[in-house]
Amino acid sequence: MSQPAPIGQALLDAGLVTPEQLDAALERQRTEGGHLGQQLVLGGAVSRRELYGALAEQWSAPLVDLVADPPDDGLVRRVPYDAALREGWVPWRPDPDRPERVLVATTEAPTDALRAQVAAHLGTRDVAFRTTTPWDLWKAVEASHRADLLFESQERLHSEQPAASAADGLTQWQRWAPLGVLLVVVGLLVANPAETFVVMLALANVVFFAAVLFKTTAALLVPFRHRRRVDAQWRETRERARRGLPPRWAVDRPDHELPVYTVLVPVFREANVVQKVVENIGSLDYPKSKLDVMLLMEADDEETIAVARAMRPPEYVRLVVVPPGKPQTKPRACNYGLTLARGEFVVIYDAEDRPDPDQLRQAVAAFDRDELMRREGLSHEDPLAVVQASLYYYNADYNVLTRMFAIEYAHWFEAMLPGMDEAGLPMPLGGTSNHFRADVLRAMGAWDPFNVTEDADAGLRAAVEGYRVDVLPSGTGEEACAETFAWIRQRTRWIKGYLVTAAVNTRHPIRFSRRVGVRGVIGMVGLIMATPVAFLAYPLALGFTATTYVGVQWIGLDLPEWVVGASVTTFLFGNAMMIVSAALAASWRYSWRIGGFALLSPLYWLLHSIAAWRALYQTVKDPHRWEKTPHGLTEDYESEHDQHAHLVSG
Amino acid sequence: MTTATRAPERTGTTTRTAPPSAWRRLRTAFATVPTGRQVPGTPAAFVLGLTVGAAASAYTVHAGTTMDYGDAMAHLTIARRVTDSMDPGLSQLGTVWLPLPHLLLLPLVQSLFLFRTGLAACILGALCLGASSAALYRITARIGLPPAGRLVALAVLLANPSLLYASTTALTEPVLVAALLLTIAGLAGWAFNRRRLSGGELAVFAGVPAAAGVLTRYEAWALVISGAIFVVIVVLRRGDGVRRALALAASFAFPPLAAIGWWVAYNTATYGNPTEFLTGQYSAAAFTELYIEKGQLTTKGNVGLSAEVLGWAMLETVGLVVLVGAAIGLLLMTARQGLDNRALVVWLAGTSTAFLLVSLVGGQHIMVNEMSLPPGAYNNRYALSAVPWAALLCGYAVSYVVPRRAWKVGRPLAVAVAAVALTAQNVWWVGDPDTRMTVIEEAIDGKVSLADTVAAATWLHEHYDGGGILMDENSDKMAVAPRIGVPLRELYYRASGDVFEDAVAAPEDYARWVLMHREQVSTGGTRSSTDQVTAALADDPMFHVRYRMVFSSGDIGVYRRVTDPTDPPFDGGDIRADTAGAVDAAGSAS
Repeated sequence: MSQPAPIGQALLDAGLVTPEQLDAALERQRTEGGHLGQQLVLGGAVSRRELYGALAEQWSAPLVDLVADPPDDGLVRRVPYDAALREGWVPWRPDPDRPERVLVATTEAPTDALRAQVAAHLGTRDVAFRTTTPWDLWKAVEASHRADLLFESQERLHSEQPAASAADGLTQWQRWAPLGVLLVVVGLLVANPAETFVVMLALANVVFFAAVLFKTTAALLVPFRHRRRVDAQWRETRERARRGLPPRWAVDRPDHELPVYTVLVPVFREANVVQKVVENIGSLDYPKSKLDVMLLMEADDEETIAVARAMRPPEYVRLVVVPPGKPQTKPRACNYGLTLARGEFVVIYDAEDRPDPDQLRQAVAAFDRDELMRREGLSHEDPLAVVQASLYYYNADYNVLTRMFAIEYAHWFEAMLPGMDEAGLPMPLGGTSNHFRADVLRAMGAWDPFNVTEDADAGLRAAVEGYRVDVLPSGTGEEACAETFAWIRQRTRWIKGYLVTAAVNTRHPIRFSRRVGVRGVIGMVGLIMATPVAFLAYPLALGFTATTYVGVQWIGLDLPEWVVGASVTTFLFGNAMMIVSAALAASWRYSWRIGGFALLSPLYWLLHSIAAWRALYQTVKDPHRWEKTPHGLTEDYESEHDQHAHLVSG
Repeated sequence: MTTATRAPERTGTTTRTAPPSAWRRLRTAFATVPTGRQVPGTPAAFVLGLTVGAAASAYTVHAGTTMDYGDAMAHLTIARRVTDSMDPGLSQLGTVWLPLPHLLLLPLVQSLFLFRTGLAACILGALCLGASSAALYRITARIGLPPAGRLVALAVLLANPSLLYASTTALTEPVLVAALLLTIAGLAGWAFNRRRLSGGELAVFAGVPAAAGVLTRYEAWALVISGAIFVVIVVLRRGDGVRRALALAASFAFPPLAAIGWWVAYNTATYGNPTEFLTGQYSAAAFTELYIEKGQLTTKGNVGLSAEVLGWAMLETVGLVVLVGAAIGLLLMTARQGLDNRALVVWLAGTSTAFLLVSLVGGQHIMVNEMSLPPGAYNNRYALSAVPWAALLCGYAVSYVVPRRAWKVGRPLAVAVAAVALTAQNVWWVGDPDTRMTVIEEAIDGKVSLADTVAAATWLHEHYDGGGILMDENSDKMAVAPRIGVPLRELYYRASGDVFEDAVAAPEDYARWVLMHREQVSTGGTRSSTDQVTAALADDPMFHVRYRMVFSSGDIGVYRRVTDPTDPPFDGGDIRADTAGAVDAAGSAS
């Protein structure tokens, strides 16, 4: 057994911990690293205040309560908030006995190095130390730097990269373009209805065909991607054998080398599910001492805040109340959390998310491998900025809507994203489980708080900034929205996000094309633009088909054979391709019982169309409106994997 | 690796149990009452039905009886002509029958071999029998019948020779029975799930099969109504209120109503008349009109006679033994459960029987048997839709005919008695199927009636050397296109569109062959059954100059063009004639 550290001995002597608790904490410190005191607190052996009380005695720096006795705002603001949080100290106040001396509240041992850091920021070495807890420090910094933090959260991207932000909404020409198109169409219909109809139908076919072609091609690329990866693995194995190395690269870092990982969990009016956060995040196989979990709650969401506080989360979970501000969106809350984040990596999870236990380790391994490959000159790809885990629904068979949603997600994460990755196209990210390098995320301006699909936007912006997005072979179980109207509201937001993202990126189309190249343009047009347009056009095409099927003999429309043939072929073939590929993906991810529901996709797409038309209206009228998706609608329902039955009693 | 039969292994201090054998799993499955979505034992029931269907197909194909019903050949033809016709398209579905059976046959009849031999129908029929078995099993499991009851219900379904025969033909009964059972299984699954399922799930699991049913036969339209009432009752009994009840009933009814909507739209788009299927020249109404004019629709307005006719049809198709068992089951069920939800599920299966009675009284259906006036054998196969109801009731009877204290011994005994009775019933049927089983009797009648046409068609198949064939397939006894066995785009018939009339006007410009009645007959079911080719050509001397009859059988003749030098020499050997006719040098019948 290793010798107890002085703080351990001190706590033991004070009777605050037992020898067994100390041994257990030492063992965790040996395997995970970190401070012994932190391990003792995480293990529940000692409270945070007791620990820092003991440290205060050791450091001969009396313990101060920064909440009860707040620091001098002016002094605090002389130190950048990120430096204060990173270095673990904050200037408290002038020494009442010697006003030229500054009292510094610290969570770290007051060493010479710390003195040097303080001097670098405050310009004086005449300081005296007081001890405080990390929680006190964070609250003090948050209180004094509120304006900075809010600027970072909601203004910085718009301020530094206005062209990349959705804050300004649509430009004038973008705002009036739809109306202009509508007027032109109406005018042409009045002047020459038959030919206008043919042209419109032909255009609708082109759009529909392009959208289907894009998605089908992406799905078809998945087997090639798999083959390429297998080949690459073989080549690597052979090369490693030639160099006398073990056949497989050991991807996992030992626990003590793992970095601090920040997990952001934004919640809003979700008091019913907030209690699951600890359970779900707690099941992650990652050293708790390396976890920096933040539950991000809006200040006006008093119910959720009350429930969260009452549940007394473990030490590695911080309850962060995001100050009021505009826009009140999820990305803004996440940005706020990012400003306080301690982790080298950052990931977003929803409260009800159930990530695979090893997901954080896999993400770290993916980043490590990328770094190694580029360092060794084995990869010439752009540096990896974010990895996206696959999302699936654990309540997939709750009702028909959840089944359809699950099919769509399976198609997206098992076919589309890997296919787009294979094609080298920029990938829009999913709403959660996207793991960022924190420094890269900050450098690219974090999430756009004005974009209602900040995830998709961030993925594209990463590509524009010269980074790479990859797909992580790990899954996160989510709760599919089980109510139709809630689903429509959620989908309205998503499609509006696509429209806004497209609008933001095409304010200067030529400049955008130059920056992103051909692949970026293909991704933008084929996915971000074509998706909403196809859903907008879908009911029109369907209505046209129904009308002509039944009423063609009355309306007297004589369509050219090629138009009818192309329309029927595109419609049937396109729908069939989408249905088959979605069914295959969903059957692979779930089972044929889910996959078979892909046959109902044409009806499901009608719901998309309703959302698309709502989204178009909102994009013009209210582009920043955030329609929150309720969670916890299906309570604790989980898909039926086993047969549920009981024996006949008699 | 453990095997299914290996005893539990000991590994260290823990015991690893070998997986149960397939037989044990099946026994366990048959003894469970499902409360979730999955019903253990369903795949086994499906495979059982499929296997029995395949065996029945093997028998009838070997016996050559799969196309004895003229309607069976007509169904196959309609299915194929959607894609293989001079005027292909959905409009080829016509309105004589509802379209789903044809759409289901469509992919199978793309193979000329499956089309010509009727194997396409055998495949569909076996699949339907598998689906029916699976659905029936699921219903019995949902309503909590013990293994004995489930087995007997399946036996009643799968040991019915009339249903088995129908499942080897292109008749619509197999599809209808499957759709009815799947609908009821969906409703039972919804009603007895431990979680309250959504309207969407109800629409998918019960509404979609109901939609399939309404596009198959009108009996299913009645089931939509009774199913919706069932949904309302279940929801109200749960205490969920009228609004919820109506919403869920609407969810159930939406798919079948949408299907009906499509059918009406199809009629509108194709014929300009949304009710063409009800009022058109090829509708069932037009068919019954002829019977009314002849004074032969005696069931119309006569409840007693209708009940007698239907009862006799059930007796001859469902069987006396099964009907007695069903009656016992009905009494037991009513005494034990009254009209609770489980009993209502069984009553749902009686919807089609009630519908048949109502439609017989209303004059919408024609059914002819020994009880009808005049007697005969026609359409008694409609009573096959009562087999599922009888099967469920028999299953119930076997389950509860013995008192609870004697279940352990009594139920196996009841199963044994049921097995003996079913066997005895079938032995009796097989003793004289031509007169004891009206479905078979009608098939034999059809075979006799179509013998001449089939002989001509078979001859044409054997001697066909290319070229168009002119025939009026819609006329009396001429629905034999599968027997000719050539691509339908070679046929000039009414379904070919305007070109048929052109070909009738100038056959030598279009057709190398003509298949027609040598003389006009007037025994057809409807006015549209007049042979238009015969009407135009039989008495046309120029036709007999340009064509020579090369085969005849009864009143049917096969004619070959003799004036076109581009036609290959006819190597059909001797020009044959049947015993009833002779062929002179000019090719005209003397």
